[in-house]
Amino acid sequence: MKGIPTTLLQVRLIQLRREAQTLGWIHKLLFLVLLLVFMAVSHNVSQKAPACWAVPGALWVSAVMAQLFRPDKDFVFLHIRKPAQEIFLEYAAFSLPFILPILFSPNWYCFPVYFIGLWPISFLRKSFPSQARFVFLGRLFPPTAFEWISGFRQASPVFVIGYLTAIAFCWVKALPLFLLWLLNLLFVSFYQECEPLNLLRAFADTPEELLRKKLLLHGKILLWLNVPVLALQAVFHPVIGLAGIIFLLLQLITLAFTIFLKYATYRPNMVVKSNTLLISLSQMGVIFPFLLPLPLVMCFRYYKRAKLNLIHFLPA
Amino acid sequence: MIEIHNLNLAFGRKPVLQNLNISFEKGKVHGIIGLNGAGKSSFFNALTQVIPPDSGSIRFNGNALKRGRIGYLETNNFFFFHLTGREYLHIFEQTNTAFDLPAFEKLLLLPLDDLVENYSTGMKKKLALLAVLKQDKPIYIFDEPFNGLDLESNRTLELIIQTLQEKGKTILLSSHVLEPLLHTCNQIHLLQNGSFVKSYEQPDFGRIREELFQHLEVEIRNQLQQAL
Repeated sequence: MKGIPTTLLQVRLIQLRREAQTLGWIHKLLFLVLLLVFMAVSHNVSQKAPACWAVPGALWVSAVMAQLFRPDKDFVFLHIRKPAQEIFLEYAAFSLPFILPILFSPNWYCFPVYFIGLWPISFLRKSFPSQARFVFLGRLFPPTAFEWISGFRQASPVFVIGYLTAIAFCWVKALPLFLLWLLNLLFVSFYQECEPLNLLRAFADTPEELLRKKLLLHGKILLWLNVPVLALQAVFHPVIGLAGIIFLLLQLITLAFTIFLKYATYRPNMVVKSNTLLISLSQMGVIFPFLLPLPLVMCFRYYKRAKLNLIHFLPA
Repeated sequence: MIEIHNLNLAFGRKPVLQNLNISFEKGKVHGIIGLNGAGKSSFFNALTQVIPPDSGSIRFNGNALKRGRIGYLETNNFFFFHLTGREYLHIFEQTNTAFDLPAFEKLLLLPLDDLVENYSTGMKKKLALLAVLKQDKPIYIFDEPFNGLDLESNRTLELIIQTLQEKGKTILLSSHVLEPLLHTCNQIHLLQNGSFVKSYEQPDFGRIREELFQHLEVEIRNQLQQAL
């Protein structure tokens, strides 16, 4: 490995190991199953052109987004040797499980084309300057929805592009649902940061009150964002209407689980990135039927834990 | 009066607060000093019950002290960086009816419509302070409130503390720098190895530096002569 720039890969490996330690064997097994399912889907999709471009395309767009918004970009370019190569290897390693099955399909040429396309992304140094974008959000949402206001501003380009695409392609069957699912994945990432103690105490006096208030307020925002797209989709494809309602219910359950998980592991001022794996897993329950009961079970489990944990921090 | 009896707190096997006993008179400003690791922040965390103490009692005016009665400014202030200062402050319910945000905005020169991400350390400290002041509490705890503040803001904070005291609030504050405490406190308490070993009244403040640092200074000078 001498000479190959693997510093970032090693860091990611350490992070992954640390996150994996927080998971039980059932969760680990589920992840393995999911990974295999994704690989199978990728292999299946790649059999015919032009659908074979879907997976490389989605991975390429994800890499662009990651590169544009990654917070450690300046640090990497300033302090790490061969930064572009490091970043390229990092993206290549993470996309490999999904892109590799394409190599064993009739449209194998997508595989090298993807990596050729990935190369220039790793040289992108452009960052978006922090400005008070979407100032109206502070008036649109109550101040207590601070996770959403902050999260929307942070991820506004991705959200705007994703949401407008979902509305623009409402006539395409199931596509808006998939885009909404991706956006909801983004929304649940807003819950990684634990607010400081004074903020927590400003919101409620008891654990039950806090969880109820959060659930109602954030659930409303989620509905407010999802319903217009789902309604438009139902106009064009009435059959999808029922699926939309189930989708919405599952999203609400996942949101509830995300909130409960955050407060079950809440420590003032901490960033709980280790929750990401569990949240992603519960989000998979929305698209993979065999995982359907998972968010619901985890919801009940973590509600109790959240209440027990919050007792230490709330005034009552 | 805040009365603390036999307070104990340990992290694992390591005792942090040991049989800590002290009373803080109501309506006074109390300074807490001690070396790094003496237990100042742990003491505040135990008092606000961020970390529940292992044993002991904390009473305020004869009753068990409730967390909701304390306004707490922590050493390190954490923010959601993509909120503006004004949005951050709006989260807190205003229970202090006298709190005048526009007046503070001018006084502390805070760009409240900018994202917190663009604030300096001192600005973040001031913003966190405003959030605490917005709430009317009988007790205020300020952990290292002077960190990162410029000279003018330092003086403003001293005056804020004095004004709070005039309104009958009980204030506990810590600082690594002695001077601001000498200007603002009625009593200064020395925390050593997890318990309070000495309290100084205002007329004795002149002795603090002498008592605390004289022997240390000789020791440090000797060490430096060998090291440098």
